[in-house]
Amino acid sequence: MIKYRDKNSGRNAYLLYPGEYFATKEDCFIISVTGVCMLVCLYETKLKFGGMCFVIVPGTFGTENIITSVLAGYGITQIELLLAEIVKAGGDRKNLTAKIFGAAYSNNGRSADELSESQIRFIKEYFTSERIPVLSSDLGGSHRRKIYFSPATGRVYKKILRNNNESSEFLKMEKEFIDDVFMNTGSGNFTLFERDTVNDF
Amino acid sequence: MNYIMVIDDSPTIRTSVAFTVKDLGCEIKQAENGADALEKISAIRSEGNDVSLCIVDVNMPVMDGISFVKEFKKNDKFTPVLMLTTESEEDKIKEGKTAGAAGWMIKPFKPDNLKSVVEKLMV
Amino acid sequence: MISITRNSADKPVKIIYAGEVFASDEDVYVETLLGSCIAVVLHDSTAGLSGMNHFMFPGGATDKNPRHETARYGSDAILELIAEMIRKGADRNNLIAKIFGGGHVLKEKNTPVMIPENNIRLANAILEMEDIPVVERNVGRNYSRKIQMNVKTGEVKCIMSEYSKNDD
Repeated sequence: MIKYRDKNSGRNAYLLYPGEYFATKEDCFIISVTGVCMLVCLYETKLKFGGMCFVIVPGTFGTENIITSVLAGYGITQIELLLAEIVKAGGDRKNLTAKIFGAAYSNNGRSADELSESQIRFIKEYFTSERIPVLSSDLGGSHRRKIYFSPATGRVYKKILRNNNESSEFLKMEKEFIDDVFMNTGSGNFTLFERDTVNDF
Repeated sequence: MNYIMVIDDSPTIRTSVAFTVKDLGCEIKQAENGADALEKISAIRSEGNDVSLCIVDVNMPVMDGISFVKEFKKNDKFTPVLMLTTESEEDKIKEGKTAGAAGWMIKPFKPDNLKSVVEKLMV
Repeated sequence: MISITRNSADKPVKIIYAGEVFASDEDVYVETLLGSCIAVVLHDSTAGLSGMNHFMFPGGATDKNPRHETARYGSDAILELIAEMIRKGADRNNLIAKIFGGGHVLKEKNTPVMIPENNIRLANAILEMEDIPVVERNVGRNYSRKIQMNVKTGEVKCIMSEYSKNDD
């Protein structure tokens, strides 16, 4: 994440790289660019703050639903990480609204289209299951989107990017993120604590 | 009758965990935070049933997972509590252990892992 | 920034240093020397305007990093350069960008190798976010670079030299 001063608003801006997430009570902008991944903006309507995260399900999950799909579990966890930050700041998911963007086709052929459709299905099922209302969404297509999120108001400003398609740094970083999620070594790790049974009794 | 308590503020995660452990010989009861769980556990026990295991998220509104373990362990030293969370920091895990948790699993969980850990803890 | 006259050059030469931002339509050359630092060059051919910055760090200025040094930090340096170009009369839709520097030439052993790579990444990311086409890149590897920009045409000469310990 890169912090800088947004010249138009005079507020701090936080630029997220693919894979990052951030929630804050500061009146600022959270900014990023999404291609094949999705950007999820969550807003706590009672406490009036929010956050944004990148989400990718690293593959297609066929006819399974998100409850049973192990792949979907990775996507859920990416949103859970943001939700944990919101809860730690006093928020409650019952007060949340969502806005979602991205899941564009990359130009890598049919499997990429399936990936995009799979993302869209995932995110819709997820928010239905969570009973979090999705106030707006702009998904699919083949363009990169720049997203400006104001966590203090929940507003989103978006812009379609036209240039640098061939050399997109964000698409490159998304690919690194997807590879990371694939390689995911930390997930499902567990520790069983040894207990001093005498003390327990 | 014995219950497994699944405690998470995410309905998706609750359903997914419940689905994973449904065939282990226990009924499943879901709760959306620590306080909700304590209430439901005491209701279960007042009906003459018991709780075999709690699977608990850490970050939840109203009462978080660590506070839940502390409270639950005041009256029940035996029933194991498994933390299931995105938190992976060493300090947080230690806090869970000190509070009395039996184990710590990091999300996303692999269903087979979760099942075998739950079976191990319930022995 | 200093101004010099160089016998080998047919126009006045200005040299900028780390932390500086320059934009103008004067008929001059602007030069800078780059090790691990980055220079972003912007040009508006319709207005005959060019600009250049020279930044050291991939982050933005934060509370720990004093505000008056913002142009040392990539995001502020690039956004300031864009703003300066527009103030001087450039049309944002005409802007094209070039990126130079980010060589692996740091002497200090404990300086993270990632700094030049992060600098390059940041320059790419900010220009992409601002939707300014990047038409040329000469970045990375173990080269230090001397670049010379012709303000009127936006052309940039980049002289690379393999890093040796005597270089800065």
